[in-house]
Amino acid sequence: MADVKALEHPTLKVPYEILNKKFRTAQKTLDREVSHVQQAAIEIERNISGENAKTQNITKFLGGMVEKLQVLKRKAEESITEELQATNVCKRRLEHLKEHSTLTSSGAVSQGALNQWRRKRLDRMVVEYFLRNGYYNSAITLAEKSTIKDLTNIDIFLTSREVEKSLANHETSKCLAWCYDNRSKLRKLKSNMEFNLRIQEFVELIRSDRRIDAIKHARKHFPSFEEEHLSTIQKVMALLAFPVTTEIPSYKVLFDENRWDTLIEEFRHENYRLFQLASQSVFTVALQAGLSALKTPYPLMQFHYLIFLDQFLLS
Amino acid sequence: MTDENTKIRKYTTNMDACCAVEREVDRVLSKFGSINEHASRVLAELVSYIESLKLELETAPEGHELTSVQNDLLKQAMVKVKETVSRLATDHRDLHSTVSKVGKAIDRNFTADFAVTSRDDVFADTDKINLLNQVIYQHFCRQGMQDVASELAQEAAIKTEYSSGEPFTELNHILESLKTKDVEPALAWATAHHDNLEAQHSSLEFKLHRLKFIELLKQGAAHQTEAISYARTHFGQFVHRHEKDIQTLMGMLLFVPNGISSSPYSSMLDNELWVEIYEVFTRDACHLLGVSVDSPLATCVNAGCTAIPALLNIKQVMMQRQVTGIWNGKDELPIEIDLGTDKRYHSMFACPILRQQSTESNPPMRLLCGHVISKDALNKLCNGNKMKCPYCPVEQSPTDARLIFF
Repeated sequence: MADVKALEHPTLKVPYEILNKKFRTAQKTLDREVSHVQQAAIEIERNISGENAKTQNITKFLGGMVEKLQVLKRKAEESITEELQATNVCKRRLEHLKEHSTLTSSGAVSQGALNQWRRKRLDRMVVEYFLRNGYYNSAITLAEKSTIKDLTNIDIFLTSREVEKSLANHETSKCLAWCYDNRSKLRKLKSNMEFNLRIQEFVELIRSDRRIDAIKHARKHFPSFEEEHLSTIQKVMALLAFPVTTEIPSYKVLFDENRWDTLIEEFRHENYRLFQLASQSVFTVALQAGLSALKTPYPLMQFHYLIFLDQFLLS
Repeated sequence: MTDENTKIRKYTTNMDACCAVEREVDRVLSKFGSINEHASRVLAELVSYIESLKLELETAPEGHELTSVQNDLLKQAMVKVKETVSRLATDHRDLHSTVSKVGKAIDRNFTADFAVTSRDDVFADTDKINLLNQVIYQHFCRQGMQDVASELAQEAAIKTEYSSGEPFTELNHILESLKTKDVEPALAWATAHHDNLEAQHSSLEFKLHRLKFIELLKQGAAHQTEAISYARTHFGQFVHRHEKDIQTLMGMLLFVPNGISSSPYSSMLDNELWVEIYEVFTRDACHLLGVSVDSPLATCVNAGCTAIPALLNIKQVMMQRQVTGIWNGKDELPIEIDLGTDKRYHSMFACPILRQQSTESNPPMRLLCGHVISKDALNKLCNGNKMKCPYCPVEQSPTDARLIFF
């Protein structure tokens, strides 16, 4: 096995997942617009099947149909262009990966090109590490400096930054929108994100002493999770019976403000799963393997060593 | 020989994997391209068809009712519209298999679970993350990417007592110019360090002059006199080591009028020369200044990237044999990993008495007689403040032993 094969899965898989999602959205848009046109056609058919159809009426209907066809045409072009763009991201990344093995005119693998490619790879990895740790500005600056923006997954992390921010402000709407946006995929992954958000909303209603609203909220949202989470729902509903200041441990935890941080963590994790990103960055995995392979004594314990590695490499 | 073979093998597996995915991506591109074209055309036709029908009906006087011919025409038109648009949606839906083949090709050719070789708690606690951020900060200072470093310092709240200072500032400036194909700063540096470079048999200076000469030739026949006089002034001093190269360079002059790009010397115009000079400069300048070419971070990560494929293999073998317990990630790696000769930095000392590798707390000690044992062994062999070397009968005081460094 070789290093590109071993390490570049996320580089390609993320844009693929985006393409796949674009495809679904495009299909939905097309289906919707197509059905509009078809409805218009059915309407006209009905009008001309009766006796004595007025020509004037029909021309009006035809005008409406032309409009709908034009909308369909525009939307089709837009959607397919987006799909093509998403595909081109994959293509560009593949081209970059292939630069790994640039051949010189004499047919040998070019060491110089390989070294440059490796420098870029390090920058790509560090960008991802920055993003995962929430150093967004550093990530953007580095990606721009090293002209690797196309090759990194900055966009999906920036979207998730917005959601994380709103969760930190104790708002659920953005995260719920995200759940809705990725509903089919999340269902496949058996995600509990939406359920946990709904519970949190319920808890917040009780905290602000709007218990009747809480019951309404529960009636509206909990039934769809009944099958899987009945016992949790029962436990959460019991909250109605206790004051916010309750000292009973299993209910006290539900009122804990830290639950919002847990939600943020859960969201991050679910977002990684959505794009098939591993729970660790390629950067830390590679660094760990490197420390071991270079036989830095007791690599994992004496990580401090890296700091002094500069002098160390010279000796 | 074997080294070259592994290189080639890696090259082909990497290439094969990329090409397999690229084939599917290209298929998606061509199919979506043609459906895009097809949809626009078909829909434009439909629009003009319906519009012409409408135009025809509009000429009818007020209160006119459809004739049976018009009625039939409209019926046909509606059937056509319905068919065409639903075909469009179906055509697009059928492309899904093409799209999902890309995903399958990626999964088949690339490893999704590269993280199995590592433990996720290693960089989990804040101390370690701070340390790691510090290392990254230093890396970017050294790389001359000060803006990235300071951005990180701010976002990750790093104490910034470390400054890269010289010599990296100058080197980074020169490397930046080389990226934009400007040899002047590098040439000035090389001329200033001429003697030292000669002493380490570096061909950096010659290669820089060579590039300059080629750039002059590229400008065409008008500059050839200039090129010749440049060659006269500068190439003479390199003749003892680069005679052959100089002959090649002068040979290029034959083809200046008709264009070098169509001559046997076309390879001299390759971008490869610029890639090469960047590497040569980095290597030779770092060597001369006594600093390592790559930053510790880069060295370490690159070593890791080389090691991971091997680690993944061994992990898989261990899972198959159900012996995963042997390697818990805490201790040494279960296999030796060949990182290439440029990554061999130091030898390890294993104590001949205790048969253990030396560590910081148990370093190698050189006895008065010249034999080397580990510090723990030394302490064990002590009898009061006297000891006897286990190899030769020389008696000595343990305080005479000196710590040595590999």
